[in-house]
Amino acid sequence: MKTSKAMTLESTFLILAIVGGIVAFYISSLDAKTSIPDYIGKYQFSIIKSSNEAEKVLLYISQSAKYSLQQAVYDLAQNGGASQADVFETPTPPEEFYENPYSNSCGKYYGYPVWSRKGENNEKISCFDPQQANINLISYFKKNFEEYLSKNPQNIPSDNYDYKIEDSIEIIGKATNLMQFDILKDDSKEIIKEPVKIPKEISKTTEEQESFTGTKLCRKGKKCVLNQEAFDLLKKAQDKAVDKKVSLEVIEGYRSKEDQIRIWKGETSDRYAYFYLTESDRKKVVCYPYGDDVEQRCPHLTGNAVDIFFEGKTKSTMTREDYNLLFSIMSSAGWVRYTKEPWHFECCGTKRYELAKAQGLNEYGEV
Amino acid sequence: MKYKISASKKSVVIDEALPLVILLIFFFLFALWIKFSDTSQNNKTIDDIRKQSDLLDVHKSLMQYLKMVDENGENRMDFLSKNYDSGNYDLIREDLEFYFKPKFSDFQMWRMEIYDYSDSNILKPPLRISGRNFADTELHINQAASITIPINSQKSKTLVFKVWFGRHPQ
Repeated sequence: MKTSKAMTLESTFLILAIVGGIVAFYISSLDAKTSIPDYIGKYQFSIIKSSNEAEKVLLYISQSAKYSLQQAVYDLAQNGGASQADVFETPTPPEEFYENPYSNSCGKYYGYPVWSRKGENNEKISCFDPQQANINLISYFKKNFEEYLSKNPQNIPSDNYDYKIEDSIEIIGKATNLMQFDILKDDSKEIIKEPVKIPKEISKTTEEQESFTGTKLCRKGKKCVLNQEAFDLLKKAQDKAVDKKVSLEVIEGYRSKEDQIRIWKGETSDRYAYFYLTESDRKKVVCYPYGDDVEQRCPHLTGNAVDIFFEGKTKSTMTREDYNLLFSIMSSAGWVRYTKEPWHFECCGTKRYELAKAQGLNEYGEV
Repeated sequence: MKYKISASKKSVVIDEALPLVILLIFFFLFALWIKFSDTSQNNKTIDDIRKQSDLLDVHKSLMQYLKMVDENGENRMDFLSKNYDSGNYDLIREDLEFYFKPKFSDFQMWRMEIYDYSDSNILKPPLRISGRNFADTELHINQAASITIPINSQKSKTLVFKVWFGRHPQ
């Protein structure tokens, strides 16, 4: 027969053993919980949600394209089939900015482009070119379409389509770069635009270059890369811009040789090869991308040149006062402007920069 | 002597049974605890899955609505664009209510708002299935599906649909 003392001791050990077992089970179950995801099917739902995001964007793009074409047809008709260069809003002589040798040569009558005129021998001279009208339609369409794309909360790349006209009025747009959608993103966070490192095989950036794509300084949908020194000067210019209650937005920085060749060949949406059919005309607006000295002649290839506007503004919506203010801001930060393109600035040892600084100037023309 | 032997046998049984009783009580409590936490975890899992499934269903309903084409070949985005430009917000409201009320009938509470470029809600008061007011905190499963659509206008405007919906938890 057991004594009371022995029973008490036995019970105590038994209780301790039970409590110890429960604690051990609880600790082990804690470890098991951390290895289990938030809920079953989380990854599968994330894939479906990304697909839904893509579906929303595609719907937006197709509807925007429809409205853009409707508006482009109206705009083209409103301007008598003429190009946007003829309806440039800034009241400045065209030769100071973008020269378009293919603008309507019959002139305007009370602001409306004239389609034909009488020659010296009373012959009829037609100034309306249907092919040019097609190109102008694409130009109007692109302007409207890019505006719509910029309003979408997703980061839809701009200037991402090659356009061509089929039959009468049907524009086919083929995307040059794919859109990317994140899977397994944190839904509680808004889409935060963070600088994206451009893979070297695409842009061949070096360690001395800075990619600021996706930041406030880079227009939505564009890829922005500059040399470190140029980027530092850009930040300096932005500080000065903020003091003046404006904000800068780069649309073009470093450009690879392959990109330059594509622009020259008319394979980008600017279609320079269609607007400027001869090499000599095209060389006035696009840097010739061939030859051993291409990196000396084409400043964008150096990584020390920018095409820049105020935030939300484009070439056609920047006023004369805007360009003057932009020049003031950029030059005070150390940039040199190209006189023929008031949105183009260079720094840090480009040929134009060196020539300008040697003469104590803040802008320079042809080099 | 006989009495004494009987008494000691009784006390021996009780003493030996005590640990077993304590053990049984502990196991019973432990089983109750596991059952409770397991049920709670299951309910949470079901709620989480349903929450995601609801979000997908709402997205699907929104997309189906916007892609619907009428006899004139116009989709619902064209209808919304036309009536937004004309200021016919009531017509928009009626159409949305007609379509979405049966679609969202499973939700205890839902609310739809449409914001234009000036961040104004063009559906005032917000379109909802129940007549009573509720705060977001009342939606135990509170989330929003949203979609942006373009408007046919010269200034490239957009409208943003947002749908908040919720169920009571299990």
